[in-house]
Amino acid sequence: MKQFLKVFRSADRNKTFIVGFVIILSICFTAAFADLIAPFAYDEIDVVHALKPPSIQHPLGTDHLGRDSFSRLVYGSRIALKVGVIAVVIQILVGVSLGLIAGFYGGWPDRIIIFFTDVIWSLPPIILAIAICTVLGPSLTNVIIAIAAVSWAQFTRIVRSKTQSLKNMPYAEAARAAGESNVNIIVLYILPNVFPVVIVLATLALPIAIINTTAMGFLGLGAQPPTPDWGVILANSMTYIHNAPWISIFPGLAIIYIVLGFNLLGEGLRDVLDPRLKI
Amino acid sequence: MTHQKSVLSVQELEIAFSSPAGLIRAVNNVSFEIYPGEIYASVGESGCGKSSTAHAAMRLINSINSPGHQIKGRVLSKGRDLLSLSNSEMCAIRGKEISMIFQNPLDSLNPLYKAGFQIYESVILDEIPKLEAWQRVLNLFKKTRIADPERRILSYPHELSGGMRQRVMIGMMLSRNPTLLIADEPTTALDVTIQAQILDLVLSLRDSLGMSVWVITHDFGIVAEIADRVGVMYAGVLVEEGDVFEIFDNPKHPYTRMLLESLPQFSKGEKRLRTIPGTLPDPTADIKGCRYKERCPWQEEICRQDTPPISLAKPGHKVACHLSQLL
Amino acid sequence: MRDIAVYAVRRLFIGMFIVLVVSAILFSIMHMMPGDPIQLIDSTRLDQQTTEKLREKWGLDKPAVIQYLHWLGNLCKGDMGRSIVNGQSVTYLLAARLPFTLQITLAALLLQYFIAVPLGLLSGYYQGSAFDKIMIIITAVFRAIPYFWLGIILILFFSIYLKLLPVSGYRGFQSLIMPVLTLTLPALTATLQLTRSEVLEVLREKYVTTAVAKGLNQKMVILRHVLRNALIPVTVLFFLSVPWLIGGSVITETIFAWPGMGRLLWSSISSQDYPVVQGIILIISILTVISTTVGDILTGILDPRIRAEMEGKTV
Repeated sequence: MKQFLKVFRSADRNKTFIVGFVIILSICFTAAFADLIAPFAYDEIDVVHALKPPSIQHPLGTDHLGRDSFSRLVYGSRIALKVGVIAVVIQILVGVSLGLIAGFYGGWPDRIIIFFTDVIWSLPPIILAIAICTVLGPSLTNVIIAIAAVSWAQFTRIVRSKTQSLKNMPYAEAARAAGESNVNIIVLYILPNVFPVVIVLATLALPIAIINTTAMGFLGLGAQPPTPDWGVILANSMTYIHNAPWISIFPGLAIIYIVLGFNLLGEGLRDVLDPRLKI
Repeated sequence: MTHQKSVLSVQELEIAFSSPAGLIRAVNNVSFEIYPGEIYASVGESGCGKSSTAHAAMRLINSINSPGHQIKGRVLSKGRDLLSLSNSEMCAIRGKEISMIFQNPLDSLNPLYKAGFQIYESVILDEIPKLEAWQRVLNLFKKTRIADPERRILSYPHELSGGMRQRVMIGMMLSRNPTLLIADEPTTALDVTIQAQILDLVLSLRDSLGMSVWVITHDFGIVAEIADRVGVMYAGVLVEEGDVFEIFDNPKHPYTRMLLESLPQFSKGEKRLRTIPGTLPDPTADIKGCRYKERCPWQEEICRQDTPPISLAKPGHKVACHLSQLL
Repeated sequence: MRDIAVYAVRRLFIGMFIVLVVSAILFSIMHMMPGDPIQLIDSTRLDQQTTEKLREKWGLDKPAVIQYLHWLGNLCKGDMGRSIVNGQSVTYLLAARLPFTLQITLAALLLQYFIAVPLGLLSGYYQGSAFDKIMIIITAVFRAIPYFWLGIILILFFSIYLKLLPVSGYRGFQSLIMPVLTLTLPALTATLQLTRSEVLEVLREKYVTTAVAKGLNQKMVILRHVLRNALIPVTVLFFLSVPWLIGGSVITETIFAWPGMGRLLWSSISSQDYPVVQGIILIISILTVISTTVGDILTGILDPRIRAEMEGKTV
């Protein structure tokens, strides 16, 4: 807890952190108040005005079904945030737990967990995610599961090595000598010290999760129409790229915006917590 | 002592570093000389500027490790001002005429190259044939009393103990027979027994090679062991300087006196160790008068107003204190 | 050195075992999927009998385990089966497609390395300069760009607007340019960032001060003491990028209709063409395992401290 407050006190001196924080805040705001911000509903079809270029009524133009691009992007922010956050939370819960167990207990638990990590690592993450999504069926939930499943290993690896070095620290030894149970030691002594690394890794894992989700949507494996997933919008735009190029441009910019926000936030956090942290 | 031409002459050196808190005045108007064949010690607590002085003399302060630094003054050696030489001229001097060894030998050796190669790198700068160079490397390993030298030449730094690494450093820096060796806290990172061996080694090398040694340390014990003359620094200023025995027997500056009194061996028998009350002055502040006045029990009005002049308590014994005559 | 060879062999053995495990898992996953490829073939043209016969022919009526062992057996003979969709030999299909994927993947790998490393070195060495600041901003922004979107934008600009390059397909050298650029971008930013931060870190190291204090000139200090140390993680990243690039080729090839393995994977998954998917995944996992193993071994070769750890392990 003390470290947390320390973060915020020195954070305001860190420009990167602030810019990132502001960006993310704006995205959260957009997502939360999408109903107020978006002039149209995201599934409001108006075929008469299909594929219209940007205008006052439709600031970012319309798509092939006459839906307002701007509104769809705004509602799409909800999906991006939702998927990113949930996927990373699952990754943390699974990855950190396994990392703690592997690092602390060593021996057979460690070897089994490492084996699973190696299996996951033996394929490029995207391909594995595609495989999982194909099996489970295309839906947003399954995309979240797939992305969580292919990326938890990064947390396990870091937490495991951190735990290995931390468990030999004097205060851990003292706790053991005092008769504390292993679970207590892990939760009370090791976990708080692993926390900062995990937080930084999480802020960097989020944008990757978002890009991967968008990729899945692009391939048609994620949210189904009419859900305004940015990847789906991008995929549709390719068909109409000759007559309506603007549809392709804006979703990408949105993705860049949110990813940039999280990247800056993560880097700022890293500078604040420990400038020499090597991930 | 006959005052021959000095090996190194530091004149009115001022060093400042920029930091988020302001301009840090690390070294303020410091002047001293180092003579041939002597061991001169710069002693003082951490942050007093002694290490910065040495780094500045070797022109090791650059914009990468110390962005926004300012250096004024002169450092003369063999008639040239080292601070005004070009980079390539300075390269020719480093290792050849003036060498420096550092505090923590583990970090100071490149982990990717074998120990022998790192000395070879130095030796070969004099453009001697390869075979002869490697022969010299072996000799240096022997001269620095490294056990099993033929094997150790092929060892990586992480395979060597702290003491051995420091010996490799010494061998590396003495390989071209410099006239002056600067030793920056050479034994701080080593344990006491090794400390003694290294000091012994430095002494014997000084005797056999006839070079001067400038030792930088915070440990008075080391000063007592090997130094001929000592300069006491406080808050970036040279407050007292003289022959080692003279300073130990007859300290004139309040700081030196209180420092010596607070050494454990001098407060034997008493219930508590003596300390010096107060803390170092703010390095970013522009200080008027004497820098030690806040902690000095003999402080007077004049100490607050004027910078203490350097006076001679005896020939060769300099003090920077208004009240040195009285104490 | 011998110890490293032992370590390498051990790692490769474990790697191959993992590859087998992965293929087994994949096999079971695919057979868990509802329906099978025969179903996807236009069922109005086939009656029940023919469907059953087809299933028999492809061995799809037997339990999954038997099918897998059957496949493994054939694999040892070098036969990866036949595509259910078009009947071609999987080996033949892969042999035709793999070179195309390798083309863009290797081109991207080399391109990003040769652009990013010098830029990163300069950026780190001249930290704080205008050049460095610009590099930092560019890297931060480019890192946020999704590569598949970049592909689309490139098409928009170079094919549609400027009419300089072909939109898709393989029509000679020009067709290479956009897919390669698309793949290069993310890898480039990662390499640049890493190179820069490694250089910065090494420059602060005390052994660099020692090298200067010895009397080495600037060139020698940079070449022998800065570069050699800073480039180790960068070189390792080079090999670890391979799996990522292969993964990226799936979407990239789809966007550009590039006749490579990635695009084939996607279409085979969609049509549940098991043998083809199995074969491609096998190749990809082998490549991945080899790349990561090479990366690990390389660290051992280049850094004696890690070599010591490895040797400690094998002994």
